[in-house]
Amino acid sequence: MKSITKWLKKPWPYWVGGILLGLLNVILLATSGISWQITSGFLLWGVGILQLFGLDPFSWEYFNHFQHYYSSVIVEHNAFINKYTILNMGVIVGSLIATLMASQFKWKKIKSKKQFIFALLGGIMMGYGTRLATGCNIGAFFSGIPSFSLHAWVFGVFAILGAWVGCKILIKFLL
Amino acid sequence: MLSNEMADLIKQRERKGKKKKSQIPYSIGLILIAIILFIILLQKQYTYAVCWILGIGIGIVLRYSRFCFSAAFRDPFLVGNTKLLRAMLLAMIISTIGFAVVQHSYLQHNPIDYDLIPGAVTSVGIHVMIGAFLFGVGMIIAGGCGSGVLMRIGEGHGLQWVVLIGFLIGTVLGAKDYSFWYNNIIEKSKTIYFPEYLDFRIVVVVQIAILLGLHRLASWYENRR
Amino acid sequence: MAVREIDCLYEACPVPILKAMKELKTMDPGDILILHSDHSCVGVAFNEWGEKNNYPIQVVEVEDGEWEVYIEKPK
Repeated sequence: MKSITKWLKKPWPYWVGGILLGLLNVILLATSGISWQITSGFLLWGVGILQLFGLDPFSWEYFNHFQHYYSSVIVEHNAFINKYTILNMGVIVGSLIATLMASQFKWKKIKSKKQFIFALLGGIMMGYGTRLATGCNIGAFFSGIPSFSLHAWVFGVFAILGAWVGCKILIKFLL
Repeated sequence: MLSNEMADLIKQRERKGKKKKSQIPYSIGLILIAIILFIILLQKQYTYAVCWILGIGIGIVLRYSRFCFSAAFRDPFLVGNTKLLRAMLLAMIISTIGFAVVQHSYLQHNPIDYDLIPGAVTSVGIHVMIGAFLFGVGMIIAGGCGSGVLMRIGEGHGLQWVVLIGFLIGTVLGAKDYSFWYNNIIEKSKTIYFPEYLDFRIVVVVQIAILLGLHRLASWYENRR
Repeated sequence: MAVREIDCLYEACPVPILKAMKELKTMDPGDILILHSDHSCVGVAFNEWGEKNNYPIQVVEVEDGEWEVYIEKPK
């Protein structure tokens, strides 16, 4: 029993994770028709929340441009339950399961105001960026490269540039 | 390797240590719930069920291998470690082969339509550069990218809920402003889908060669530092 | 030999490793740094970093989801 507990705590090497993620992405594409993506689900959550306030974001021009993408969601009138959001919830639950298997779950608070502001600001920047680049690290890059689209390579180069600038900011303000 | 002083310190600490509780029973309960949900979804809507179970798989892998895409982009020049970057390249080599099979069989019966090809094929231009740059800065100062946020919420980090809220605000704002960007930049930009220009087999071979080359380059960079 | 502690609870990557690097610069050889963290990546990240830079490192899980990293500055 003790050895199982110990084994469950042990992190896997990065390359094992890489191989499995690569395979899972292919299986996802083959079975559901969508490649791994995250921010489409985020957008729909945001839309769903705005709908609760009586707004109608689905009428925005954005959704005309991405009709093939979101039409099934719009038809079914459910911004919260659809393939994109279910995928995200699966990732959260999967991570929770793995954390519990390793007995490492702990509720972690927010430390300071500065941390809060940087987190919020970083989130907004990422969110806005994903609408321009049609995806995040995952949707535009990790799934874009194997889709043989040039935009993914451009995304990769500029995300690295951004990360470099981000590191400078981090060292200056957060340390 | 450890000096005596350090071993002593650790021993002292371990004696003081609190009793840890096993959380494994909760994980088993959660797995059962997840499987039941999967079966229910399977009867109602196949795609939902597949997304659910594969999402869970992705989450488990992310957490167990501590896979972090923002670290893959950041660690090479912050601490000189390219292990994660190389693992990411490996993952993309594997999915290149898999995606090629899926796309190739799709294209045998269908014409090239960027929106409908399985995978992520979209236009390239200045908007992607701006978006990716913003994203890159954001993921470093927020301490995690899209996948990181989801994984850390599952781990119980309060801070990542804030990042998620920021993310929702950002995506909604971006979608609202989309017409501006579309009229100015995106409308004029082209989608470059490689198999349209070259034979599919050549594209796959060249891409794998490039990814392998980058993998080699990353190892070389790490050893040089 | 001196022992120093830094508190990196609730801090996200890469703050713990940067703080440790900064702190170690001001320490004498043989000193020990203890870093408190609850970030799950810390163990893997520090072990790799220590291996590369020849710092003896030991990561101890002191509580559920909480770790202490022991780093000794090489002599």
